[in-house]
Amino acid sequence: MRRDRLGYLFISPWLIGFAVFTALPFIASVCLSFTHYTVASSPTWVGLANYQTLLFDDPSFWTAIWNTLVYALVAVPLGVAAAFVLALLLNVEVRGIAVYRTIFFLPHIVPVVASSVVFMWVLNPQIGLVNGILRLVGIEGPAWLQDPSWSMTTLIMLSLWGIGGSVVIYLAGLKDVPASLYEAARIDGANVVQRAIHITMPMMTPVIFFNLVMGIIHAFQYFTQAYILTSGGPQESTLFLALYLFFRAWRYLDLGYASALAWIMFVLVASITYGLFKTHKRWVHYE
Amino acid sequence: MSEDPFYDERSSRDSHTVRLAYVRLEERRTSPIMPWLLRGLAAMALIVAIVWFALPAPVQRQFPERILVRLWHQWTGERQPLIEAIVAAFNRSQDRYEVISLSVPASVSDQKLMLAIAGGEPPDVMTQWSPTIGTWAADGLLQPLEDLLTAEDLRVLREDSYPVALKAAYCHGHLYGIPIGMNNFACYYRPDLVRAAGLDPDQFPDSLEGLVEWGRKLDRVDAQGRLERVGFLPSRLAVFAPLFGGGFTERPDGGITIDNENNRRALAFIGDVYRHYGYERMIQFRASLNTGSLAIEWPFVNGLYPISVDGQWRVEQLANYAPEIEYRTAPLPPPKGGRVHAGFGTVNLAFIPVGARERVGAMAFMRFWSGLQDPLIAGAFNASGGWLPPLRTIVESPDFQDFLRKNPQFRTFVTAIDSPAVEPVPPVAYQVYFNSRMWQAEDRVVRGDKTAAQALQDLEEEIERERGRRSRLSRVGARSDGAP
Repeated sequence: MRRDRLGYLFISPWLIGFAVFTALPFIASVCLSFTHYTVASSPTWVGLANYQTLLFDDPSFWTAIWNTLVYALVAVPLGVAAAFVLALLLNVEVRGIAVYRTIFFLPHIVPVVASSVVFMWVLNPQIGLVNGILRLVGIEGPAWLQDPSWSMTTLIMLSLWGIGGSVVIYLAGLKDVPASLYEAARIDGANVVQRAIHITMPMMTPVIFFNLVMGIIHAFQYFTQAYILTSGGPQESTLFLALYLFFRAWRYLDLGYASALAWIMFVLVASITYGLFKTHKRWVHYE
Repeated sequence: MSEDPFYDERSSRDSHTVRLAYVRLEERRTSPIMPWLLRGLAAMALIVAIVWFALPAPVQRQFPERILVRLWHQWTGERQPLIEAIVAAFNRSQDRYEVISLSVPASVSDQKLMLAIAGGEPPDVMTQWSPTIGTWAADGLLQPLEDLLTAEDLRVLREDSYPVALKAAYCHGHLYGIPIGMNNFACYYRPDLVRAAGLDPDQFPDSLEGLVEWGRKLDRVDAQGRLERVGFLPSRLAVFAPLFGGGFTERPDGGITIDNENNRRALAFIGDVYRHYGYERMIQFRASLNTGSLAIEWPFVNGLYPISVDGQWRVEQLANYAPEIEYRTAPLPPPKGGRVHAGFGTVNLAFIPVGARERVGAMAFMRFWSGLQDPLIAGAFNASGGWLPPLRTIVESPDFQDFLRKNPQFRTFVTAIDSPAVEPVPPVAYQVYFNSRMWQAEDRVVRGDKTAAQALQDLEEEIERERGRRSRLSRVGARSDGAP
């Protein structure tokens, strides 16, 4: 009993923090989503009016849903695949591998705001580095962030900038694959590709699954880069759910409406995550 | 082994290392816990001490015996000392109140104010330069100010303020803000570049069509067909619509006049200029420009926009940071048959948030800053900041007249603001939403995605939808509160 109490004592800062800063706001936002609330005045009960308007009378909401889904469906698998391939390459024992690993991890710890501002200039259509290089080979690059037909693609490409964190997780997973499996496969005559497909990939599926779930959750919370680089534009082509929620809450002073939006977002993320968990027995292999 | 790039023989060694680590952890777990607890607490105490000493000391009060009035404003950088000078002058001028100012960056000021109101600790006075007062007042963030003003104050405001100041400060039937500065727009042009293009800078066009012609002569394109310089590029529908006899004003039913013939003509005019250059080319050109608020970032300074429509604050910036540039200002001319002396203006307002503790002291400071108390003193503030004063008598003050003598190009703005045809963003309850969506509508036209008529029709539908949503929520909310 004494040890249990000590245990709770140790985790109490986190428990209190979770209760005050996560659990309570979480519950409060459910209640607020059924109200009209502008911070200054008390919330007034409006029933399902916020949900009704969001679902049936707010085209920007559907644009934000669509943009978020496109981002999640393209950027997340792309990031998972790119990080996995990179981890495989960085798992090869060659001279200076620690330096390579550091180089690929560094962007992950650069503040997103700082890297976004740099990208704003790098991707400038007229004076930016990217279009400058394209011009050298005779290509006139697009307005990466200013053209609605390119802005989403650009943000998806930029999402690869921070995959260093996932790479480290994959690397840790790769280190955990028992050497005996490779040895047995080699004795059975399996080549490099066969070992990669039949040993590395299956053994890594728990890590891939973890990164996939976390990636989906992060995709639905995608905010900072879009806020800094495009502010949801041009033409709402990069208006994501989290960004729209922010605008509704803090720009248009509609916290009740924003809470309803947050809950729809939560239900979406929870459903997708639940769907992934339902399927994971079919393709995730645990030792 | 070495032929397998994915094999790492250290894996087996690592497993052994992990097991060892578990054994050590287990040993540690069963050892007496108190020393670990003490070390943990000591480490936390050290962190708290470091944070405590690293934090900047709170502002020291000079007059602790006086009533505290807290001011939040949005001026930063070189402008911040000017605000502090006004505060210091007020604190010297009387012995009842002490104002302490806090500069809150504009990008977070809205959130900070709302959180402060929710937390019961709002400032006593806050300033705001963007058109938000309509939304904030409707949503209960601001207090009406009439009861804090004397009859004489109200008379001065009514008779000495510029028309646009009152249009912006009165919303929903009440005065919610005291004007402390005005902003309007006029043409800045570069006589050196105009002369080089074979034009006479003394013969500035008297129509928008003439201005477009001038602009075309100032354009410059590189060998690959990319725009290097655009003579004249209209932007901001709110600035141009009044010149065409249109504009955005509140209707008696609470809506806004949006989709009408004059506004359509104004938006089509802006769109036509973009179409002339090619939408794609213009997007590329505009994206290459840094249009920040500082003089050094302004494309006018490096000649990329030889004729720019911009605010009066550029006069002071040019005097301070680009004094070598020869420039002139002129009122934005109307189109042929358009409305003269029409335009767009915004107002810097000081207001009292709901929940503010020291309303009377707040108003005393607002009267001081705005010139309601003494226009001569306010003349000195406005001259030092290069601001466009909120009252005509401040303009007449010796300090401000001296400023005008030194900065003759500023007169264009002083003259232009005193017109009943200058319109603000109407201070309706959905003002912030409308302002943001108006930009979107214009953006669709300058990209060639929509015609002016389509864009305005869609904007009107969108605004009506938002208005309906707000009023529906208010009605449902009122019913649930038991209101009739």
